[in-house]
Amino acid sequence: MKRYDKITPEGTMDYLFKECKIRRNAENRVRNLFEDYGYDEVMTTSLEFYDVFSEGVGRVSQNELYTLTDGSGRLITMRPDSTKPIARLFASRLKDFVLPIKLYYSQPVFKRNLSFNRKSDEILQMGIELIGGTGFKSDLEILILGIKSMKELFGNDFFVEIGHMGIIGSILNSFGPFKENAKSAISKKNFPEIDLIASKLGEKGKILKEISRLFGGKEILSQAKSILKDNESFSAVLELEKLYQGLMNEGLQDNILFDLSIVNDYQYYTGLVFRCFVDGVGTEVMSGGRYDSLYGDYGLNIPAIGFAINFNEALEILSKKEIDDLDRKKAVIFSTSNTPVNFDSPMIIDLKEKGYRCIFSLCDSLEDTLNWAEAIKAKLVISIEKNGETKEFTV
Amino acid sequence: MLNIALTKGRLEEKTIELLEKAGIKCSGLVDKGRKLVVEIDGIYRFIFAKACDVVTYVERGVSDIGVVGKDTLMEMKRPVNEIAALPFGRCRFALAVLKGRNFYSGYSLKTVATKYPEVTKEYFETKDYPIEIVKIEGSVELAPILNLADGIVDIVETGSTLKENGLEVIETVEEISARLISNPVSLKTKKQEIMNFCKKISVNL
Repeated sequence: MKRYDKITPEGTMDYLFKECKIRRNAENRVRNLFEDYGYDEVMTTSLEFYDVFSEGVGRVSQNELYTLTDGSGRLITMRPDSTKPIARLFASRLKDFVLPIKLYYSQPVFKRNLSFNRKSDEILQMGIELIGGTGFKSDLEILILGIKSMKELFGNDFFVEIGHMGIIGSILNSFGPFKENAKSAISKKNFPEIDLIASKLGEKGKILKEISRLFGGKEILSQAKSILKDNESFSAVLELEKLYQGLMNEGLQDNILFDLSIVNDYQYYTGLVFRCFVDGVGTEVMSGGRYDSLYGDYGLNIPAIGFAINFNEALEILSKKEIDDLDRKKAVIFSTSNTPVNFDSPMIIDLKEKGYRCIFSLCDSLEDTLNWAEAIKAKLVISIEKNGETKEFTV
Repeated sequence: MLNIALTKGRLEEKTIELLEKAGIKCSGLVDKGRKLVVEIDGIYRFIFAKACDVVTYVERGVSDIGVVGKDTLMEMKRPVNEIAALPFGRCRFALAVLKGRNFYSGYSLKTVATKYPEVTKEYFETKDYPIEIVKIEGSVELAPILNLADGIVDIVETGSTLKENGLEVIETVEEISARLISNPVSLKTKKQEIMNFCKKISVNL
């Protein structure tokens, strides 16, 4: 039998050296942003009871979950997202806190994917949860944080697409038995299918047809206003306009697109929705929105809004850019005697002040040390002679 | 530059016909020889690939749009946008059995042979009818003849191959035609270029 003792399962990977540096560095930049805005970190357990995800708005389909059993035979799952566990955490340990609560997390989630489609089963997610935040101010704050975190990661090479579930939601709700099919067709932007459904729905179908094609720059908001002027979802378009104004005041309007028929995977979005794409990358790097009914899974009537960054996608984009300044210079220190070098000696302190990482050579000879220094890409080798004198070599 | 992936073979020919009708100079496409990449007027870059690969290239965004059969899309279930139905490649997925047989008779677990296990699985799942699937790569019609399967799910165009081998269609699973697909991100970032291309080949988005 083939032993799988040297490779990792499909959809997983080890991170080495520079990959770790890029990851930690990117994570820290986003973390600082979240902290600056007054968000506090939570870490939830990787192992959750299956019941957390089995029902309700935050349900995750069985075939996406990694499941196992605990010592008593109860079904456990590796967490497939962080939003539902944070709702669980709130319902049990935070429910008496004064709202709103501003939280962030940075932890992996685990989801099964089809093999060989290059998607990760273990995804590092960083995200925000604003629990108990209603209205325009919360929407705008989360949107700003979402866009600013993308700026931290990608400079200006991204765009954020904004939509509102109130628009497509109220239209879909009037579709009766066609609702589910229409929703699936819209989420895939399957125009032939959309038009087929629309043709069965008369005037309502016409709106579906038009709305499903409304995506692009801010000009589509005025088009939407004329299409929806008599529709109950008109106010949602006005909300988007107001948010765009808010982003302009922050100088964040440059990377913004709108799509009025975003229907995300999760059934739980109830208002504002948004996601980030980077040109040339097929998948979204960040997605989020308002999910005011999720806490209803715990019998709580609490609004919530947030977003999550897919760090695996983000890192793949970042690793394609040349990032060298992350690597500090290395100096290898070799002692010809058996006396260890003192890490607090003036020479070492001096090197550190010059920006070097000082790495002790454990080799027996200077020759081996020089070879090793070359292998680890150290620029400088310092040999400490028995009489205390030092010799410098550049590699 | 709009990157377009075409499914080699008949769909490719039909697409080129459509392009020629639209006044796009296609001599480079017609006489491409063994070339896999052809640029036209510096606006379009065409690549030629197997149907499944067209979907993969578009999904991954190395091609912005592509032409592929609905059958491939249904089997692969990838997150690409199916933006238009094209007026060729029409056929259907159908369940066929040996002439005169009742597929559903009796209580035994039925076996279905197919080149499309995902489509078959989903079809019978929506019917809540348990079956066993045998994946076949070539002429699926052989399976019921050799008594390996009770029925087949396959693409049927005229039905003559079925007839000659003593089989008949008993259910249509899905109507099929060629589709214009798009990468979801390209649809946003290259909306105008894609719209223009569609207008040219007189496909309404």
